[in-house]
Amino acid sequence: MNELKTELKQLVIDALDLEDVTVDDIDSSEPLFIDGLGLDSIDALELGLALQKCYGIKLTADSEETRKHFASIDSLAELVASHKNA
Amino acid sequence: MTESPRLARILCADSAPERPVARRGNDWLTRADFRQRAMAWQAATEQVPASRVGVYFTDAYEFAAALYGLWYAGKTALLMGDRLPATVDLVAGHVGAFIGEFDDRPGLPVISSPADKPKGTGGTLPALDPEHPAVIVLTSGSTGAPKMVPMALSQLDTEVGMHEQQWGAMAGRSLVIGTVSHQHIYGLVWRVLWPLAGGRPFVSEVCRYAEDALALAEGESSCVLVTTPTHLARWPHQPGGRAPGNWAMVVSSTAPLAHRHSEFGHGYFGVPVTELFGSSETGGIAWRQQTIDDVWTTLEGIDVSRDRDTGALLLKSPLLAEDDWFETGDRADVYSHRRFRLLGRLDRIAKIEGKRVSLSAMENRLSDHEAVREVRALVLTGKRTETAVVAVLEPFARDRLKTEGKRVLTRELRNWLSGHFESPVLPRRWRFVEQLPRNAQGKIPQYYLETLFEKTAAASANATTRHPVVLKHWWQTEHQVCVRLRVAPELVFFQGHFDGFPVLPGVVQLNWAEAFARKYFGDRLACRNAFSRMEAVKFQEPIRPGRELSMALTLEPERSRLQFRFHDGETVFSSGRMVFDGVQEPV
Repeated sequence: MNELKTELKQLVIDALDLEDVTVDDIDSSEPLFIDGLGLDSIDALELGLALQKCYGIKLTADSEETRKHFASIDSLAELVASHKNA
Repeated sequence: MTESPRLARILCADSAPERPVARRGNDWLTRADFRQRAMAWQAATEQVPASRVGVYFTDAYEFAAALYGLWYAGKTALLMGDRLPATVDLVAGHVGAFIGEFDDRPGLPVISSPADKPKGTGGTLPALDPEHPAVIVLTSGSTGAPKMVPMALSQLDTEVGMHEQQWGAMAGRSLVIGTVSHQHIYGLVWRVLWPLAGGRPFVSEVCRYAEDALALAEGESSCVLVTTPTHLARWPHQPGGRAPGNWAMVVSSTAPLAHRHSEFGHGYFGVPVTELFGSSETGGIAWRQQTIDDVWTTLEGIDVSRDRDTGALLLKSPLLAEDDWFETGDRADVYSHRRFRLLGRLDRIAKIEGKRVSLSAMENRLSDHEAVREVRALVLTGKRTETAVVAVLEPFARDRLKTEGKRVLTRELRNWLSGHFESPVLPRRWRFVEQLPRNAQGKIPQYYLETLFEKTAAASANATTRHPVVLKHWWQTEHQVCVRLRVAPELVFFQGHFDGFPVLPGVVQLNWAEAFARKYFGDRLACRNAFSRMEAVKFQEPIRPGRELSMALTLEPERSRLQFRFHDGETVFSSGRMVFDGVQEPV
């Protein structure tokens, strides 16, 4: 799980082209949006695309619900892990 | 303009009370519901002792009902694009009450919902006065202070009428689905007023994600999508995939759409993407469907011209109060009184993913922070369009930078801006410098600032091994530039070219000339103008490692040509012309 979290941190940095942020700077439980890392609505769109590309996660209807998993690296890791096991 | 515009008659005696006005979740709201809700809002706001009311709703149906209620109560709606503390404070000085979703504000009444009792909804309602000051929209002014733009009901109606005439038949009674808020003029017109006027239902929730819009379209016989380049550029899809649902029309506005995203939209939705160009001050101006023709065509009744001195797009429009030419903040090439191409902004208003932001306002706010001595904000275009900041810090803050690190400081400055600017326009890249880079005239050329943001990796690897060192920016006019360069011996191009007598290859010189021209002449020589051929190219003298020389570039837009010359005083190393595709002749 920790490996996956590190991988996801790197994915966030690369997909969103973040500057002055390294994997070590991101706390897994810290909010990614608004507070914490300060991501915004456009980043949410980019992140959705990146997850589809890297893990084949397709968000269908009720995507608002699914995107609650975007809150932090911890919850993202759960989403990706559950998708891998499914 | 008709005597009694259609927007003024939406709530008059109704022959089809069961016809749907909006869809919320899986429920349909009818014209009878709408009328009743609007009357409830009228009753709730009639007694407000002010002519102007600040309005913010997330739900478009509730918003529309409140808007009509306010109009029947004789009030003007001041539309707020956001609820940032600075916006609420600003608006509070101009209104007597707020309606919609607000925290309670001391001193001003907030009405979040009307009493639900139906009141006299059975009889006939009069038409509204077309000259009623219907709405005020807030937009970024070029000086940094927000501007209030008032609109009469008749102005809104004229615009809606233009769109209805052009696209009404094509859209029919399709369900209108949107990814933009109705609190801005684009969403107000396209998600709420145009559907109301054309008798087509609209979705009351804004679809923040593509998946939500697609889910709504399933099972509908026909839909219209009201969206932006921000969404179309990031629409999840498989290569060659088709959207579920039936799409009668896809509308995009707030910023120009990249050609490849227009192509994607056409293939994916099965209809060309119709782009609208307009602004809060001017209303709608023009449209295009890039997969058919990438030049903008004005809406019926609007004429354009170009200011000879400034290059500004001028327009005459029935949507403007004045009959004289109106000068916009956009530069343009104008091909006829109805056709033009946009070349970028003239002022310091930037569009960040469709959101308008005044760079001056951002600089002013940053200057008020104790850590900042001098500051410039600029726009960068990479993976997304974003703002960036170059700042000179006060000595104590420079010490903090060393001890606490860059992230702590940039986060503090971002927070300092966040009550005043929406998050997508907040700067994502920061450079702290000893001095702002100035040229010989004491000006700070945009290009100097941009170079500070070239990819760090690329900058260290590329700058020294693939690019010349710019020693001095001699001078630049609209079509000419001259820079002094040093050809560093470390350039990769000298390796093996030739052993024992290294010289700078001719193809590298051509490459530099083109790269510099694209940088300096900006959108005059855009990416769409691909290199086509060379003319009269001569390499007279070899350029040796370590050489200092001047590069002079002259753009001849009317002939789609770029002249270049590498020289040092009388010694000319090389010269010639490059011809580019597709630079269209301006009138």
